[in-house]
Amino acid sequence: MLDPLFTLSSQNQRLTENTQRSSDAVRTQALKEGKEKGRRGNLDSTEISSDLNQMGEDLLGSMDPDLFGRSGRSSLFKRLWEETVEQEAEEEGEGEEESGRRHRDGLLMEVPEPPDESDEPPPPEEPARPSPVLDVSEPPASRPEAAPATDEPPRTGSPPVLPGREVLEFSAPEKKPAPQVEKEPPSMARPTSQGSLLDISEGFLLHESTVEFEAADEAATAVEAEPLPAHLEAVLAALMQGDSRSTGWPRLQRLLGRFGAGVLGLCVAQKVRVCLLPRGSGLRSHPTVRAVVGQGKARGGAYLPESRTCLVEEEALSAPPWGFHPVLFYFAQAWDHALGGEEFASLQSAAVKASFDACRRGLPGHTFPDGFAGESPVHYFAQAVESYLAENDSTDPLWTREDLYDFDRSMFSYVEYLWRQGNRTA
Amino acid sequence: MNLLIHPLLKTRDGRKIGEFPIGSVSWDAATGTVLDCPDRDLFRLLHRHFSWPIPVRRARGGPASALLHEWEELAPGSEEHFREAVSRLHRLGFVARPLGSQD
Repeated sequence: MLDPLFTLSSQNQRLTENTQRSSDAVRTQALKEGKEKGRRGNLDSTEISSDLNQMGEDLLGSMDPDLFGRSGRSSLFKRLWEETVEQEAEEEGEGEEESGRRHRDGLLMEVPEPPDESDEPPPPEEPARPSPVLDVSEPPASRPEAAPATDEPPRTGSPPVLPGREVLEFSAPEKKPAPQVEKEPPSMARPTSQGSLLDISEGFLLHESTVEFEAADEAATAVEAEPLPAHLEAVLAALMQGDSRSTGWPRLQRLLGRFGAGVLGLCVAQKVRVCLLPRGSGLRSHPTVRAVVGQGKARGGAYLPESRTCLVEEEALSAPPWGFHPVLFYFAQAWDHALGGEEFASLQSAAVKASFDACRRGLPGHTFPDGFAGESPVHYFAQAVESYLAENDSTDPLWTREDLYDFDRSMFSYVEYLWRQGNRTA
Repeated sequence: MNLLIHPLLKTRDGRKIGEFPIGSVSWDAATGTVLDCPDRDLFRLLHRHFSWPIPVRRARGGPASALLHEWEELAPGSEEHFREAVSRLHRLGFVARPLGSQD
């Protein structure tokens, strides 16, 4: 068992040690702060970033802070200033020397006796910087134009120039910028040339992106208004049925035109038809669809294999449909049917059946977009064609062309092969 | 059915499956969907994805009559909803793979 006195003394010793350590820390912190203050006081870093300390002289170039009297060469600036004051004092007469006061740029400052014009450096006891004293009661008579300069904030960023010329340099640039601004056209109207990242004379990126969006919309409408190629228009005329004056007609032409003239020609040869149903009469207006759906809500489009007819609602063309585009999907089934003759080609194709089976088994690199595409190889092939030919036509698409490429590469390659082969033989 | 959720990484040659999973998801008829993800933000995102109703296409008709579809909304809590949610994980930038599968 320890002696209680020993325990007490050891505790006191620990307390003393902690006290000494904490006091040492405070003293060390105070020394650091003092050093920091002293270091800051020597530097004139009001307008110069501290990053300049990290830059070499070769990188600074004409931005060398020494030119602005920042670091160790500030003594050179001080000597230049003193010499200037001395020369001016000599020029303006020795008669005023007894007053010891002179005015410069609206500031009355104490000027000591001019030093002797000798090669010796000025003694260090002389005031290094004249302290400016504002004299309100006695305005300067010799240089009235320099008076407004006293109200302005000190321009610490200006290079060291002769004091007598400061007035001229202050007054001259004030009138120059105005005609320059008037002569220059608005910066937004100038052609874009990105010379520097810091150059904002061309405006901001937000403005440019807005212009690009507007241009894209105008380009899209312009593409819709452009006439189709003659051979494609002839094939589409043989393929499509409905009111050609409806608003959805040109849109339907554009969508079907993505299949290419060769594919469309094959479908026409197999007596495939595309019927554009007028607005208001839905799919259930067709007796076959009504027999299948009953009171259900079938929307967008349908394919009737017996009559090889593709039905399209005009409502599906007026606004982007959700998930997928029924025109591309159901005409892909018509193309599949035309390729196969009496039966769907996807039910006979080894490539489609192999990919379909791989997706069903969940093999790596084979994925169904959703359960609907996994219903049968016919749906699977049609969905792949829809994804392949889609160009951001639908809202929130279930399966895009990129998805088909990334998650079902073999089907992407097969559809691409079929599409190119069908249009090559045309 | 236990699946590991991997992130999809955009590369020069399309999207690739990230090496390290961010979590796992499983389906059990007794417990339903079980989601495990250490990242709270990703967990919130995935939880919302798996607990939201999903509109799905239903095939109607057949080759003998007509091929068409109808939209139907799947409520969460069924295995079909779980499968549909897993198949649409790529829209969030993820993909679910069985443990031990290699792409």
